[in-house]
Amino acid sequence: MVGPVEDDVQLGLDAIAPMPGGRALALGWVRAPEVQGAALVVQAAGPCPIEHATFHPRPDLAAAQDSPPAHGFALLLAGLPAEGRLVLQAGDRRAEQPLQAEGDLAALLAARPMQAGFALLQDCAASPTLHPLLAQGPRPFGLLADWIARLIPARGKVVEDAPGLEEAETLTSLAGEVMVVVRGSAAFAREALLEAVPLGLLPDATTGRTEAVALPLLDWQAVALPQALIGYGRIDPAWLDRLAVLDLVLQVQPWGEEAHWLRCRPRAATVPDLLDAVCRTTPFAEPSEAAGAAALAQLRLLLARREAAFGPLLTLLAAQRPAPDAGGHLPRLGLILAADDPVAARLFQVTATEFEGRCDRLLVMGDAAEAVAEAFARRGRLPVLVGAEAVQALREAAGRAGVLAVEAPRFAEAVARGRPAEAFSQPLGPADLARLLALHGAAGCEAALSDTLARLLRLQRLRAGEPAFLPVQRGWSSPHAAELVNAHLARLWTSGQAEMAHG
Amino acid sequence: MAERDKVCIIAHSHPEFSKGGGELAAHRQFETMRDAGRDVIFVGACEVGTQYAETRQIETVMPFGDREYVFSFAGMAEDKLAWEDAFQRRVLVDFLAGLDCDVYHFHHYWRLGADLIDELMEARPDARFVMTLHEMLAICLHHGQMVKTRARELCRRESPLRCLACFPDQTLERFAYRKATLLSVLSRFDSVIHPSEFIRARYRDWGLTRPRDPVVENYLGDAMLARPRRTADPEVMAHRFGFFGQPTSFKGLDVLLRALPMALRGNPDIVLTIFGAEREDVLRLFPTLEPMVEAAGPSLTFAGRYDPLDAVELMGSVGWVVVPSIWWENSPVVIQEARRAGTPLIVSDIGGMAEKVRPGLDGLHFKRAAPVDLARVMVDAANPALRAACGASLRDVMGRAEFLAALDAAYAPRQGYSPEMRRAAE
Repeated sequence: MVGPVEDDVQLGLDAIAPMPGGRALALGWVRAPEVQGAALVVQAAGPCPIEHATFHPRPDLAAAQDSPPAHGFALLLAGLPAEGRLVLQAGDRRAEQPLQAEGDLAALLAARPMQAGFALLQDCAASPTLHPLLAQGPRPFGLLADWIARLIPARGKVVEDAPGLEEAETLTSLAGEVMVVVRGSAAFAREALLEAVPLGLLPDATTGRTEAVALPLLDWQAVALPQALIGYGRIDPAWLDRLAVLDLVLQVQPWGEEAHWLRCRPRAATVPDLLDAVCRTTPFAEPSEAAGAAALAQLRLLLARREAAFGPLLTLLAAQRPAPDAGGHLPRLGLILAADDPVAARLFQVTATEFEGRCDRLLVMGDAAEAVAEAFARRGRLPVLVGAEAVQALREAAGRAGVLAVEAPRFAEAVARGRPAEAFSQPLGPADLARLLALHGAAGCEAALSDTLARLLRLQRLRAGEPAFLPVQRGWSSPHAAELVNAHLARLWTSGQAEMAHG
Repeated sequence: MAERDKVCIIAHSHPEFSKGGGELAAHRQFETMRDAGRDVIFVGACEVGTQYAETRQIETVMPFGDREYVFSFAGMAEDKLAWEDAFQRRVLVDFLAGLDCDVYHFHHYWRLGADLIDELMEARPDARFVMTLHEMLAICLHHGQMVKTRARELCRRESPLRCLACFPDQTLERFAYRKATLLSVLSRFDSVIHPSEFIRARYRDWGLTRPRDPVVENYLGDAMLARPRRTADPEVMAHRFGFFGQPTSFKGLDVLLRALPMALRGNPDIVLTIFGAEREDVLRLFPTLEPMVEAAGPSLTFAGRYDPLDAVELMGSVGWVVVPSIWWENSPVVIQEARRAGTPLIVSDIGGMAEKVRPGLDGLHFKRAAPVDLARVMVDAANPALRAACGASLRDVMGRAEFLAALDAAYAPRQGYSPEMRRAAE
């Protein structure tokens, strides 16, 4: 359907595919002296607006000398009118093509340059109206299935078959942050580019099938360091709970025009892990001094972004005063934290009545949660949950239940003092739980929610002279990264604390 | 009336299978109460049954004579302070609860389990619970010795960090769980009987302050009390010294053997007899002592093992009983037996030994773990005048009537104390 009208104003229609809701997707290309000044419209008996349009380079379409370059397009049309025509108007010149559904869109996408498919995937992520592209047909990823099959898969973070690239480490945090660190065997160009599209599989509980979705990546920023490309953005964290699988499709242009398209499965990371990845700029030995300094500078910028993003909410939540449970009607949820040692089960075996008299339900978290829970389950007087069920129950309790949170070691100390009731003296209200979840997402130091809760409880009983935040002990990429990230986490953890102290 | 109470004595062993001071005291109490017409049952842990249970099926609780039972503790955790097999624990609890006793008197918690005690207390909230503490296992992970694992230094106070220094592979949390579990359960007893002031003070310092906590010495039994106390000739006996017991590293036999050559230089007439071990047993444990043993020559005799029932009589054959333990001891039965025999003692100047032997009256003290000082004291002791003086002032042991009265007091219901308060009392 290529129909050159004049040498430098050309319109080609590669395929038109019907879409749900009577819409149609048109793929093609244009060539005009000034594409930005040109306009595409549909001419038909009735109105038929173009609801969505994206353009991308088409270097595969050779042009005559001095001719303007071709640009591919993807148009979402409100309908496919009979006798309709697609018109390219460039000043006083025009080119047009009849709109007729034809062409194998999937095959066309598979055959076209990778760049075009990536652009379409970006469009899918940006526009919900294009989501059906990923669902059409029997295959996963719909019309983009063949294109996605051509992506270079990363095994873990190792990249093969992409010359110059060694690793593509991708991480997500509970707050929906997405971190990409592409490491190369040689220095990247200063103008190197890194783009990403999150691609998920959403299970349907009723049909048992999964639906592919491309997600918008918000606030994406990428930067080129000497030996690493670093990208950081975020998705709506609600997706993380809903998706069965989350992949990242990367478009990497390390040196000018050359590009690679990768498919990576990001690793769920703690906040320290995610942030430290910025400073792991090389897969080999220690980074050079220059690379290390550049990474630290980037880390500082990133930390500032995070504090601007998360700080206000954390400050607000810290300032909330617990709402009184006037009628004492809130469900009494018991929570045993840090039950990491099976020996703790002995203590709870002989003190079970302390909990049975105070709680309607009990959650146990920690490495030895099963053993501790068994001490209660055997007695059969208190429903007890562990593992993911316990975490979910705690999330659901936010806003509607009071939680008697007890850290196992501190409970032991209270019992040894002969005053076990002291361990129950600071119940967490709904406001505390909201703060807990926010802190866990923004500044959680371990994957386990129980660690965040233990830190929050510590913060709440802080005495003068005690540090508000205990630094995270892990295998940091460098002491400098450790210092920066720990200081950043400390600031997030203490957001609003000063106001509280003086309030 | 306490005399009409039905009492169940539950011990960590039965003297048929081991002859430790705790199980001997528990069983002697059973015999004494039974012979006094009390309604009493004895239930003891059984090593033989437990070993058998490792390979073959065996009942958890088995009759073992008239009103005596033994039980297998095969279902317990390695440290024998709790049960891994909750079903077996339940079987034992059901058995004990079904005995329908008014008083459950535990001797020790090792091989019995804090969780079993807790479950029995819950099953029998109307009963009274009494515990006799024979050592400090709850306080100290080092076999309850309160002696540091490095260099056998004495430990004077438990704390998580101190304990961590002795057991660096443990965690602070684990020490906290251990203490809380044991202290929680022990605090619910109506009475905790301590055989010495020393051990009572240690448990009080540790935090066990809720129950009544009388000091009641272990009773040696009617048979030993019926023996006449002989008067020895100090001229003949003053230079004869005896050691009674197992040659374990805490009993200080090495200190005594190091002291002997020095004492012999001060008084060549001194003779020492080791009751409870052969020469080979001692040298196997303390091979570096061979030169001292050789040097002592005929002044040193190894008498081998003895039956505990013969201890009092054997102690009559020496002028002094030496108790050179390097750990605190609580209320060593050897001291009671020596007092019963009328033989004064030479003891380390610490813990239950120092308490039970009044210096200059019941015997003499020497600096713990100091062979030089022990040698000095042995030379002094070989003086017949000193032996005669100590022999004359040496106390006898507690009598039967006094012992039973002390038990009745411990078994009596506590004023204003209800079963519901048991847990609240923690």
